[in-house]
Amino acid sequence: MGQRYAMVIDLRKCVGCHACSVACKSENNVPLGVFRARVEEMEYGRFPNVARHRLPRLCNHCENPTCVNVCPVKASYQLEDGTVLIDYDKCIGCKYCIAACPYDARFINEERHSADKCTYCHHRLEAGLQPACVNTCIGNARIFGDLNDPKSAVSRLMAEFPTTVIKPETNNRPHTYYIGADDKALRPNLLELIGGDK
Amino acid sequence: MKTVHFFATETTMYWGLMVALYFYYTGLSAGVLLISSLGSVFGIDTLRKAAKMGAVIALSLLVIAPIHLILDLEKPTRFITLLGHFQATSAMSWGAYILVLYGIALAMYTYNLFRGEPKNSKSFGIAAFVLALAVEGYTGFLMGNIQSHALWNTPLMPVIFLFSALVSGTAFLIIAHSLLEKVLGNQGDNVKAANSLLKNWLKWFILVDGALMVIYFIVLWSGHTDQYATAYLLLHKESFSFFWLENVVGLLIPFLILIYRPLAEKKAATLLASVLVVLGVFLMRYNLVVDGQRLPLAGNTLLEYHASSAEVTAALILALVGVAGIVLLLKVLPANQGNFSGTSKSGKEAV
Repeated sequence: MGQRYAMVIDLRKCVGCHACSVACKSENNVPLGVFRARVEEMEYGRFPNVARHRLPRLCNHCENPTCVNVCPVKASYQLEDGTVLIDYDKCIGCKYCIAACPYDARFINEERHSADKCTYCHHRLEAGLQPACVNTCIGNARIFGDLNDPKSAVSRLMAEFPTTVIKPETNNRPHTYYIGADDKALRPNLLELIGGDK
Repeated sequence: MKTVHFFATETTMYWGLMVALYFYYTGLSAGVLLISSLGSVFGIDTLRKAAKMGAVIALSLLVIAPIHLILDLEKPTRFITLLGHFQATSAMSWGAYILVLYGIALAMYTYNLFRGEPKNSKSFGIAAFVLALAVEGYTGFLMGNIQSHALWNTPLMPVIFLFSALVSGTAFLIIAHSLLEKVLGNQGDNVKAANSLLKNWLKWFILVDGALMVIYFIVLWSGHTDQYATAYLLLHKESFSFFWLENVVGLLIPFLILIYRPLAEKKAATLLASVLVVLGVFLMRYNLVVDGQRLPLAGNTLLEYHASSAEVTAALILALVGVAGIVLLLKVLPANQGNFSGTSKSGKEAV
């Protein structure tokens, strides 16, 4: 069996320093205003019952990636190890993948005139390094590895702790697993947002 | 419970006016073709004379429709690669080929129609008819098969697209016939008979389209959270555009005009109903595309969309090109000679 890359994000250890977002930006030359990896921070509840939560987001490198399925020119593709990549030259910029991704993981790179997103730092993996965000995380909250290797850190963490993914119902089968995520942080509170929360 | 987001990145709404106009013009083209070819291809005599005008309108609108999408690409010059690849799981990939085939069939149908070759025009007419159905089917499917946006994600979408295309196509033909009369004077009984048949059909198409919208909305309203939130957004934050303009002014009022006989018999009232319907269907496409993306997938801000001045300018220029194309083709081709005039030599021409 080959490798199947995945990321575990242990939210108990995330301090919200945003170093991952910054490391990703400088490693991958991500233009201003858009992010391949970002950390959402939110506070909810009413005093005195309040809670603060963080949710680092990146491409989920899904098992069944809608973005790859909808790309009309096969510019989005998936490697054997699960990594979803974009051929930036092939991409014509129709933005169908952006509309279809349920995770808002993609954006237009205005400098390259193409869709863009996290690659798990594919160039670093090829050189035997960890993704930049994982490498830089001060709390060791981001753990990257091979799910098919039972001895890998991700496999051991997933065996030991309960994990969740964002929107499992989409059947995209995302591969970013969160430890200690609150359901309220995993998706926008749409009812509150539109005022339909009675 | 109050949620405050301290740090949420802004998301851009990438599909807007140009995508909506693409859906709109392909719908108009397909709708006009489906209706107007009924005479020349399927032998409905009353519409026989509408065939040439319908073919010219369908062709002109089909020429401008994909330009909107091409301009919307990040790399417009690379659009041709759509035809160099085939991705079976992508509706857009299927669509690129369907659209090209539809264009070829439509052009050949028009050519043979004007050449007066009934056999060829019938064969190409049937092909264009089937492909027009496919064009509406694929555009609806392209949206309907996207799970991320609750407003789009319904198997009803291809059917909704088809019926709103029939509504707008029928209304557009009524307007075209009326304008033809304005320009060329009384066109006799042919155009009157055609318009009264189209008027009758229009009200049934509106009824089906309206029923589909009601069913669709109720299912949204009683659906899961994302669906309910979408329905709530349409009914509250977007009520002016969605409820009042698109559905009351664009569907209900025209329907009432068309079923109220004293009004329906007045030319001006029918024309007004048709204009409202044609504008209403544009709003339907626009609201579908834009409102479908307003609810965020992450973070907690409603996405905003305002068409850029470049988009509006391009859209206006293309609309003018479309209208000019119709007028020019009708002038150059002998579409209006002996077709609508009551003095045509015989009731039945070659086609």
